[in-house]
Amino acid sequence: MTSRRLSRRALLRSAGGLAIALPFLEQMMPARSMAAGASPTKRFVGVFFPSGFIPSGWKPSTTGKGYILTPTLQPLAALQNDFLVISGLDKKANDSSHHGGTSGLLTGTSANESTSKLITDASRPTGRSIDQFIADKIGTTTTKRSIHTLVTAEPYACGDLCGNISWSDKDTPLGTETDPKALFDSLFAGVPMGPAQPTGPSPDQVLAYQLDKSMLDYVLDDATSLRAKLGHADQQKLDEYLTGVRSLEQQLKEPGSSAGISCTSGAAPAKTADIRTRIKNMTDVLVLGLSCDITRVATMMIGFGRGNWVFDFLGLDGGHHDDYSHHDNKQPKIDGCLVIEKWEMQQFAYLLDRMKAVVEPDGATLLDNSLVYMSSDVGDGQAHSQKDLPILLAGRGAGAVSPGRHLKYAGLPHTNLFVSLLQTYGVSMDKYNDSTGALSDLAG
Amino acid sequence: MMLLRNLQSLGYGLLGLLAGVGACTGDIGNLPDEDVTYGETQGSTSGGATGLGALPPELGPQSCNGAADPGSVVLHRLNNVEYDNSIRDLIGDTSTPSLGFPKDNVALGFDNEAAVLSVSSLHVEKYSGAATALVDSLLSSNRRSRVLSCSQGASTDACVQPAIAAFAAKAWRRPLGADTQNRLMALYQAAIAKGGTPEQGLRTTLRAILVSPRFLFRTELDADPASTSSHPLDPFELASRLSYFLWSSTPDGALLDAAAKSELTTPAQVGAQVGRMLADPRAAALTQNFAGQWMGVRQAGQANPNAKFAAFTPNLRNDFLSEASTFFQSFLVENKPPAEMLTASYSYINDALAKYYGLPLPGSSTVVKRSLQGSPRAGLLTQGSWLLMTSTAARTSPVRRGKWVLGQLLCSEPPPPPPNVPALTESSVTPTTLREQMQQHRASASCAACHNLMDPIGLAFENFDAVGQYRATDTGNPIDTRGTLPDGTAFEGQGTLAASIAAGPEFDRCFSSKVFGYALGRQVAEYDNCTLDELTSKLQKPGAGLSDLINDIAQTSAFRLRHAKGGPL
Repeated sequence: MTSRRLSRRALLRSAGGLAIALPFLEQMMPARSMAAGASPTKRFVGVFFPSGFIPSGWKPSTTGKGYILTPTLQPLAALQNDFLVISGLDKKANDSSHHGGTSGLLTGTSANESTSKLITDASRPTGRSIDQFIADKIGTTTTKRSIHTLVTAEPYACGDLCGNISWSDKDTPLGTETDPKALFDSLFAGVPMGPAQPTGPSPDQVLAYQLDKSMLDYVLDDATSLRAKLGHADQQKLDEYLTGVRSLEQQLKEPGSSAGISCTSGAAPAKTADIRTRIKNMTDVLVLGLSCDITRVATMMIGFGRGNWVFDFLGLDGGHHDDYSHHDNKQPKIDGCLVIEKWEMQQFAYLLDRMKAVVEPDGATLLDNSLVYMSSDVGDGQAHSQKDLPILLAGRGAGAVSPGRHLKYAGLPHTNLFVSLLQTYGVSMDKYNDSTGALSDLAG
Repeated sequence: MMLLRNLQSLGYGLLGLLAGVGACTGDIGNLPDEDVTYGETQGSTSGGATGLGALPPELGPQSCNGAADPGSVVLHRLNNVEYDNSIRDLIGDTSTPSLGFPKDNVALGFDNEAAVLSVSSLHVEKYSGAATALVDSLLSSNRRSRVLSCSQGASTDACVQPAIAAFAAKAWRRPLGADTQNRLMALYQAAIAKGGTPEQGLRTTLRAILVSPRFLFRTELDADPASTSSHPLDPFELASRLSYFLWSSTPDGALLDAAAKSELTTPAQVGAQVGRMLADPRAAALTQNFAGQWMGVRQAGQANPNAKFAAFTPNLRNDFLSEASTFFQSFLVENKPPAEMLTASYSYINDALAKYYGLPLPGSSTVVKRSLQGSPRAGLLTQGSWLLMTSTAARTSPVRRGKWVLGQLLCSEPPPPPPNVPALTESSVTPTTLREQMQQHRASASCAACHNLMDPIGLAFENFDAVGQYRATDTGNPIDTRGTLPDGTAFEGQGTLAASIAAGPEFDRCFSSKVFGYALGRQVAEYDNCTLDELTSKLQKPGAGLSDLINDIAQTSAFRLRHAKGGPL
C-alpha cells in the first residue's frame, strides 16, 4: 500500500468519470502525519435505527460504571468503555408518529407551527438540527460541511419526514446518500490520485477547473437574475437551490492550491444489492471521509423511520421491524424484535470498531475525538412512546465525555443532552428547543 | 347512497369530536373548519365556495371559472420522474439519471406536490454530476445530431452558437429573452477565452443549461410578485402545466408552437391539445404516476410477501401490475366513468392470472380484457395489485384496507394513532380469527374511535388473502365479511360495499379532487370547493368519463390562472 496525495478538484465531473484507486478499508488507515502536540480534530456522527428498542432487552437495570450490559447491548461488550448508555430522556413531542420521531431525532420535538410548508401537520422538525449547528462550527474548513447517509432495504421512500434526521431548517431536509459507491465518488471522484505533483497541475486540470468555475459562476448569476423576478415563497425555494450551488463552489478547489489530503489507497466499494454489505460499505466510506478529514460531521440512518423491511436474512419472515415492534405482547414477535435489535447493535458496534481503529495525528483514536449519538424515532415501538428514549453516546469528544457508564435520568427532555453536545463543539447555546438545561455529568 | 352518507357523516362527526378533545390529529380531508396548513391561508376564508354558496344553483357551479381563487403553486422543482422524462424527451437519453438522486417527498399521496419538493445541496451536487454525464454521453453518441449539426471535432462558433440557443429554449420550455441569451453566449465565449475549444465551450454551456434553475424548476412569473390578484398564466407556463400533468414531462414542439402562436387560449384550443396529448404514448405517465400512486400500483410493485404464499411469484406480481395499469389505462382510452373502476365485471388478465384467479384461460401471455362474471371478483378492489398492496408480508391487513378505502375513495382518511397507546393486556380468551383479534384491539377506547371506522370496511375483503387469492376460510375458520357500521347499517362482503361507494356522490368528488390535486401539484384547499363541485357535477353527467374529467380540470381557472403568494412569509 502506498500513501497517496489527494489534491481536491472539481467534484462536478460525473461520478465514475475517473477510475481511482482509494480505500477499501479492510486495512485502511489514514496517513495524515503525526505531529507531536497536535490538537485534536473533533467530529460528530448521528446514527438512527428505526422503530425503537424493546425496553426489557435494552435498558440496563444497573447504573454507573461497570453497569451490567443487557442482551440487546451484548454486541457492544468489547466497547463497553467507549460509550455511555443514557436513559430517562424524553422527546416532548406533540405526536408520537414515526415521522415526528425521525425528523425530531436531531431537532428535538415536533411542533404545530402553522407556517411550515410540510403537509403532515404534527410531525415536522422544529428547525435546524444539531448536527448542522455543529457543522457551522467545525465543518466550514473541510471540503464537505457534512454528509448524510441512509442505507435501507426498503424499496420506496416514506417521505422527507421519516427519511431525514438532518435539517437545515424546519422545511428543508438535507437529503441522504443511499449508495456507498456514490458517496465514495462524491468524496473522492475527480481527485487525481498519485504522489504529490512536483510539477504542479497539468494544463488540462487547470482548464477543467476554470470551465467548471465558469459554469458555476454562470449558474449563480443566472439564478440570481431569475430570483429578482420571483415572489417571496418562490425566492425561498430558489434560495435552497442557491445554497446548493454555493456548496458546490466551496468544493471546487483550484488545482495545486489545496494542501491536499493523504490517505491510503484502495478501491471504491462495488455496488451490491445485499443490505448487509451495503451497510458495511457505507460505514467504511463514512469512516474514511471522517478519517481523511474530508468532512467532520456525518449522519447515518439504517432504514427509514417505521422500519419497513423484512429481515429474511435473520430468519424472520413475519413482516418488517415495525410489524414485530407492534408485538401486542406476543412472545414470538417480541423474540423476533429482539433479534432485529441485537443485529442493529452489531452494525453500530462495527461503526465504533472502525472509528476506534483509526489513529489520529494527535495520537488518539478517531472515536476518541468524536461523539457518536445513536437513537431511534420511538422508545418502545409497541406503544410508539417517545418517553425514555434508547440513547447511546459513544466516543470521548476529545476529552469532553467519560464513557463506560449508564447515566439514568428521570424524564428530562432529550434536548438537554443536545445542549451539552452543542456546547462541547463550541456552539454557545444555553437552550435548544424545549431544553431545560444541560446534562452536567457527561464528563464524569 | 344512504349507507355511505351515514358512514361519512358519522365519520366526520366522530373525527370532529376527536379533534375537539385533542385525541387525534392529522389530515382528515376537506372538513369545513380544517386548518389549511400550507398554500393560500387567506384563501381558506375568501374562497369562491363561500361567496357563491348563496347564488341560485343554476348559476353556482357555472360561476366558478373566473371567480374562484386559482391559488398559487410554489416554484415547482422537477421531481425525479419529471426529470427523467424531460431528459428523455429532450435528448433521447433513457438512462434514468434520477436513480441516484434523493427520493422525492410524498405528500397527500403524490410525489409532485411543489410545496414539499425541497432542494438540498445533495440535490444540486447530483444534478451537476448528472448534467456532466448526460452531456458527455450526448455529444459522443449518435444522439449528438439532435442538438447540433456539426460533427465531433469539427465544431465551430457558427455551428455551436445557434445550437446552444435552440437547446436552451427547448430545455427551459420557453423562448429565450435577449438578456438570457446574451448571458449564455457569454459563458460560451468565456470558455473559449480560457483556452477551451468550441467543443469544450459547447460542453460547458450545455451542462450549465441542465444545471440552471430554468430547467430544474417550473417557473411561473407574476408581473407583480407582491400582488395577490389572479392573472392568466403565460402560454408557455400553461404548456408546461399541461405537459407535466398529462406526460410528467417537458412540452413537445407542437405544444411550444401552439404557445408561441397564442393558440392555448380558448377552451377549444386547450381541449384540442389535451385530446392530442392523451392520445400520445407519453400519456402513459398518467397511469404510471397518477394511478401508480392513487391506486397503490407502485407500492404493490414493492410488496414482498412471505415465502409461505407458495402460489405467489415475482412474475405474478408483474402480472398484477400489468392488470392494474391496463385497467386504469382503459378508462383513459375509452373515457369510461371512474366509478366503474369499483364495479367493473371485467379485468385484464393473462393465462397466469386466470389460473391464479380461477378463471378460464384467455390463451394469452399478455393481459387481455376478459369478463369476471360468475367469479367473486369485480373491480379494482379485487385485483391482485390492490389486495397485495393493502396486506403485510404475512397476512391481510383489514386496517390498511379500510384506511385506504376511506382515504383514497372517500377522502376521509382517519387520523394517525394517538400518542402512547399502551400495549394490550393479555386476554384470557385467545382469539382464533383475525376478526376476533381486531375486536379485542377495539376494546381500547382510544383505538376504537378510528378503528370502528376502518376495521369493518377492511374485513369486508377477507375473502381475499394477502396475495390476492380467493379463500372461503382463513386457517380453517369460516370467514365472516358481514359488517355493521357504527351507525347500525349492515353490509356483507366487498361487493355491496364497492357498489355503494360507486353509486354515491362522495366517490366522484373525491376522485376529482385527487386528479385535480395531482394536476396542480398542490394541496386541494377549501377555496377549491366550487371548482370541485363543478367538476363533480360534470363527471356525473351521463356519458362523462375520465378523459372528460382531465379536460375539465385543464379548463378550470385553477389550472389556467395563478397569483403570487404575496407578502413576506
